Amino acid sequence: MSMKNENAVVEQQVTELDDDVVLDVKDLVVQYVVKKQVVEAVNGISFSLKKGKAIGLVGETGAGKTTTALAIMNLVPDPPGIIKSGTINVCGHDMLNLEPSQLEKIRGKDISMIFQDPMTSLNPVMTVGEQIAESVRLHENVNKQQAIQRAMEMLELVGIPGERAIDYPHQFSGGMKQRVVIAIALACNPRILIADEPTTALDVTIQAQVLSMMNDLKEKFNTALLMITHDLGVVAKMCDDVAVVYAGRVIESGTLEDVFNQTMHPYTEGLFNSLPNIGKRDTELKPIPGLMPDPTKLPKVGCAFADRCRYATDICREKTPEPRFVSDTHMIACVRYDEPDFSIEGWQNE
Amino acid sequence: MLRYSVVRILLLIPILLCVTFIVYALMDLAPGTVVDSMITEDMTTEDIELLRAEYNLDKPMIVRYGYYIWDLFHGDLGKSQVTGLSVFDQFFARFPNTLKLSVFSIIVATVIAIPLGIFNAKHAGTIWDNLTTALTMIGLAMPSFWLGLLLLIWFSHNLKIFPAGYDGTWKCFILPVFAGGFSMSASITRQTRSAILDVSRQDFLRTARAKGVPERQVTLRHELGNAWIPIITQIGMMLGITLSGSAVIEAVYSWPGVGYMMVEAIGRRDTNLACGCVILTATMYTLVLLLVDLIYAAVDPRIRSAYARKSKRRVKA
Amino acid sequence: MSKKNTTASRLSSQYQKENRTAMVWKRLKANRGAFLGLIILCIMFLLMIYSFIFISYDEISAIDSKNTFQDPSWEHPFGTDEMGRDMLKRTIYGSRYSLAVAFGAVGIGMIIGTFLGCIAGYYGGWVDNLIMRASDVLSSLPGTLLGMVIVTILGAKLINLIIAVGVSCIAGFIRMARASVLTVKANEYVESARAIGMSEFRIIFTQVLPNSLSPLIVTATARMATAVLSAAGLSFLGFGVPVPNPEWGALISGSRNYLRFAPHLCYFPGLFIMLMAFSCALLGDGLRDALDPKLNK
Repeated sequence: MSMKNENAVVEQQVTELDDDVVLDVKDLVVQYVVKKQVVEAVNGISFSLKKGKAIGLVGETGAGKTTTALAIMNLVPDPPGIIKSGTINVCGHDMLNLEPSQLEKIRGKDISMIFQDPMTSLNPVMTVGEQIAESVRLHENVNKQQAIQRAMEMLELVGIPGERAIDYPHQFSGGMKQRVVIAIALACNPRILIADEPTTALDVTIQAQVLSMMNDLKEKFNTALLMITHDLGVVAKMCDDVAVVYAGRVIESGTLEDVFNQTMHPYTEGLFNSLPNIGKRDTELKPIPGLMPDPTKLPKVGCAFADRCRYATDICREKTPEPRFVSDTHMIACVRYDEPDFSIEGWQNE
Repeated sequence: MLRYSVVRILLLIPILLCVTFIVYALMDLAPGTVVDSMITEDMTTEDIELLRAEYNLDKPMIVRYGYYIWDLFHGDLGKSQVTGLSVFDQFFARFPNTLKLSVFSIIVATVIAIPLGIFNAKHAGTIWDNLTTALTMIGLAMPSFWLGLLLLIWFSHNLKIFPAGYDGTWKCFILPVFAGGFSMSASITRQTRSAILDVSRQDFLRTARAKGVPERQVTLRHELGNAWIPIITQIGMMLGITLSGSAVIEAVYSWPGVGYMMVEAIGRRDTNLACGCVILTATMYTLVLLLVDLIYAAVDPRIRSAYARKSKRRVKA
Repeated sequence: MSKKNTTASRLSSQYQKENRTAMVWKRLKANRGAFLGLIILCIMFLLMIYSFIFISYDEISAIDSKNTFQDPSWEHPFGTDEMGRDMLKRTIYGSRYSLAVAFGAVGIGMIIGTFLGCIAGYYGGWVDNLIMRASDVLSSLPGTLLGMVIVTILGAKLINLIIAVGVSCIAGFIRMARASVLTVKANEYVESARAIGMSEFRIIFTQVLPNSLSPLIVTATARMATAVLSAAGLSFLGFGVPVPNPEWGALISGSRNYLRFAPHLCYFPGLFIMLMAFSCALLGDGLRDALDPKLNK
């Protein structure tokens, strides 16, 4: 075990994992209870992430991606959120059964998170240097001076002059703020970084800069990355593995190659068909009809995507799809594949 | 920042001039003059006219206001028409008593209210929160002079623990501080609670938690750090009001402060004393509000840089 | 075409209004505190009506020298005062002053303040500057102080007390109304009203004001609590309803000489002031929650 932890209690909770796996999520179920209505945000998501690798969690708004990320950090706002069941293992720690004080030691140190909106993710009354140094001070045995020094180095690393450490967030632009957020997240060299739509709120040109910087830093520190996004382009650029999420479930997962080039699930196909293709401007966009089902009224049995799926038959509404491995890495959850000769049309690749 | 403060202080002068004019004019409009109480049966009309001339009452109001302001700029607020003592001296002889009372009250109120407000915000919706909220409502609704009298009846007359009025010992402060501080404490608690609740919805708290900041530190540094402005506004307003002499509390405890002196002066038509007191307390009040504005800049860098920009623009112009 | 449009929009806004009133009422009922406040306020009103019909001024001022300083009993639930007058009746009689101040003073403050605030917010420029500087001057005088000065000039009468307390509310309403007008003004429907040639005044009073009403109502209700308290304070200091009228603050002031042996003279009027202010504060809080569109649950 690579963990060197003086804390005996933590030691006991270290469970055996594949040496390479740093993050393992199994059968995660998260619900929000608002006024006696149950929002079924996450309904049994499983995936794992290996050291230094990157996995993309793809899906529409409201599919449960952010909730999954918060659950991994054990930061689901409670109330109204409840993690009903499942296990989450971060570098050998069982995140769902730790004392708050132990969680605080893991967050920021072993696992960090970048949030969607950089405009609101920084504390407006602290200098950016203080905010980076705060993390360093919490997790490493350094004095204030050293922490500030480290904060300045981190700023340089994300492409901001170190002397701007004494500036406040309102003095930075959106892209710069997101760089600061990344600097905070990477300040203690975490083994896992969760990035929740890190570039959605930014301009396209800034997006590309921030992404390539993240990619460089990830290589440099050998950080494992959980990339949450609805942008398939981002996944293609950043990730080794992909998990497509719909209505709180993983409906297709595998390597980039599996999911992008051997697409099998109708929903994934629909996602690709919704992308405009600059090369072929005359091809028609084929958006997925309809909307995500209301997460308070998910069907008890059957596939949640059935109502929007052009391949759906009666059996899709009667039988809940189980994960099915079509190769060592490629998993899909679709009942239609019970029929041996079923296949989808596939998306129009160039 | 310094420039801004100076500009703000200079801007106070016209406001205070308006205030003095309004007060002076209003006091002048009041029926009856100080001379009325000096007239005796055996005075002739000429005697009365002479007396009126002595107090400049034969001249129009605006002229008298001119004299008054002229003297004011020379640090002279005139003499009390009843006691004959300098208004300035009389005011500042009593002001320390008011100052002590209001500063103690505000400190006690704040020390109780801020932790309570934070606690309530953290436990919003629980029975404890509801109980405290009800209590703060009662605190807001209770007339402070009534609470003062109740405390007087129970702790001074019945239990004889504390003195009924000012005697210079620490004991005489307890009852008035509590009577005046209760409602202040209630409103600061409410303000703190709602300010913390407002901040608690912000995203940057999630960032702080995600980097492993302990919950206590999240509350004290990140939440409270962003909730100061409404809390300080509330405290500043309370301080301003009590500094201008919480007349009712001073009346209940026969406190030798400026508030009660002012009430008496107005009642006796001692125009000079009343006017002087009103002007001085209004000045105090405005200065406290200005101080609050300047403290904003200390707690919020965004306001600080807005000030910096403003004064830069002014320099260019 | 345009006529059709206006009718349609009027219909839809009518519908929205009814819907909204019903929703606000529902939320208010659900808020136990606010409902309690409303009930206390109604009881105060009933007491006032009762006092108008059944309690004459002669009855409460009749001196009964045999029954002075009676402790509370079945015959005199609130006891009697130094002249043997029944405190229960005097206290109930006093409800009219408090209610008059609560509604009168806040009404004055709200009407004048809102009017000036709307004009300042809508026109901007020097009008705005003038009004706001005047309001700065007004708010740099502490309320009690201003009240005392005004009552001194106008004389100790109920109406003057109302004016005094009302004047010290004005500045708050000016700022409030101005702020909400500025917010509403930025909306497109005001722009379109101007485009179809509505006069400025009509725009303010038909488009802008109704849409900034809810914060004003909330402020007004909450302000009633402070108005009741400052009026009672002024009366307590002798700057209000003149004795022997049984205004609650004045009653407490009158009890001060007899605290040692007749504290009940102080207890009951104070309790009523507190209930009055308490009910307004609760109702104000409840209305704030009920009218807050952000809390759309």
